[in-house]
Amino acid sequence: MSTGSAVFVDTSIAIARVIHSAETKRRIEARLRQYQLSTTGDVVRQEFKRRLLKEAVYLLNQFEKHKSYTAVSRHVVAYLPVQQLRKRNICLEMLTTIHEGASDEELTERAKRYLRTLVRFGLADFDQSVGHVIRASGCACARQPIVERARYKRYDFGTASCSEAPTCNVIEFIRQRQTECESILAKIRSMPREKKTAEIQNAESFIEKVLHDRACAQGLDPCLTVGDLLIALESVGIKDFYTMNGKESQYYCRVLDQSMIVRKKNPIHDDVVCSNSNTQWPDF
Amino acid sequence: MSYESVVDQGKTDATVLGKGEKFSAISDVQEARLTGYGSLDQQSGIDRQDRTTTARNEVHVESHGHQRSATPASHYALSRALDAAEYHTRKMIKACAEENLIELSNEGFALQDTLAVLWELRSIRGDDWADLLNIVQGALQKEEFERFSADHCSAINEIVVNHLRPGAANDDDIERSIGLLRRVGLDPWKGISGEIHTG
Repeated sequence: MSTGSAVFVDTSIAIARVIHSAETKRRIEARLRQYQLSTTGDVVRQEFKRRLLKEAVYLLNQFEKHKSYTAVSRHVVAYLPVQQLRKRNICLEMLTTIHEGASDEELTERAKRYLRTLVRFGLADFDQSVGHVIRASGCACARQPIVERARYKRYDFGTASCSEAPTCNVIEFIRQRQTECESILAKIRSMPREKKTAEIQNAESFIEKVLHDRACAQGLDPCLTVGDLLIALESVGIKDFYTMNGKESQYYCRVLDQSMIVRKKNPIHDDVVCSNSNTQWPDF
Repeated sequence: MSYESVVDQGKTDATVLGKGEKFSAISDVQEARLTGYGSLDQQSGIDRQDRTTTARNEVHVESHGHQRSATPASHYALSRALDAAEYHTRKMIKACAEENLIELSNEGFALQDTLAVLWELRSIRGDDWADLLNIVQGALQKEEFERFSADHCSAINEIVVNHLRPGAANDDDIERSIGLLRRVGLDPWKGISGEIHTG
């Protein structure tokens, strides 16, 4: 690792630092300690809100309805289908408890208190957990605070779409990153169709539209629809990109001449380090 | 809010346990009912002139959606438990400095027991305070106290002294406490962290 090094933390890592197992967290922290600076971006912050903290509110609502830790755990398994595996796993991870032997009543109260604290202070913790949050994207959704309207029940997250946020700066951000957008588009166009995931296809479509007419960018709700792309653009200039999901990031990292480090979900596995100097990376 | 140094300020243990706590005045009759709550170091009655009720220390609070009232006895028990919590954190700092791992671990367990007492009394201080206590308890779960560093001990002491002890916690107390835990490598979210392996 070079001195003066920095790493970009993507959403999956940011979420794992909160709700994954102690061993996974230990591995992530060990990786981050190798760098002088850990960074992330506003769009990551927005995804952290949208993916983790909204799930926390979902669980709070379920606790309000079922009033039982056991019942809520059963409900999540029964009603969140495997098609929504990521959401289901996040919920189940948040329902994991270290308070062994506690009654259902105590587990219920403790879970509600954890979730409420996470919703109220998760963003502050997110900001403190890295050395620097890159604000270049000007994502207005990320900057809207979460307001508690009723304890354990109602929370106002603000808008989650750029088109409804009057101060969104994504058009200017796209202008600043036009060269990178063109490079990414060229890369995507060169990919075989079967390699293009739905997210990659969305990114391709988005870049084509905004390169033709930048002004349309805000109306396309990019932080909601092409978050991976915006996060890649936020990370420009940071040599190492740390993620748990290499599927899309591998293409963006290649174009942006970044090394990609993939944290496997199971903590028994080591990080997969894909150096930008290596021509061959494993398949993700 | 002021923050005092977390290092030993030259007080004896007895002084730490006995002085400076503020709580509601109680009648002689009420005091007679307190025999079930063991004072850690002093006879009841000391500092009675100093007892006040602060704005942060309301008797009637809404806790976890329920309106509850706290008795003077429970206030007293809370006060004593907070004394004890501070005492144990100071002992942890001392044990750590002396590299006395047995003492460090024993004081860590004693602190956990005391935090459990505070948990039973959480309705006195309201939801935000109980939320903070819950976070601290979770962060200490499954920790090996023998491995605690001076930074760990100081952070826990600071949370107890500056954020749990003064009264009903505010946003700043919780945010700072989470930051303190993070800074020394204790996990504020341990209570909602899991093992769901799919790949």
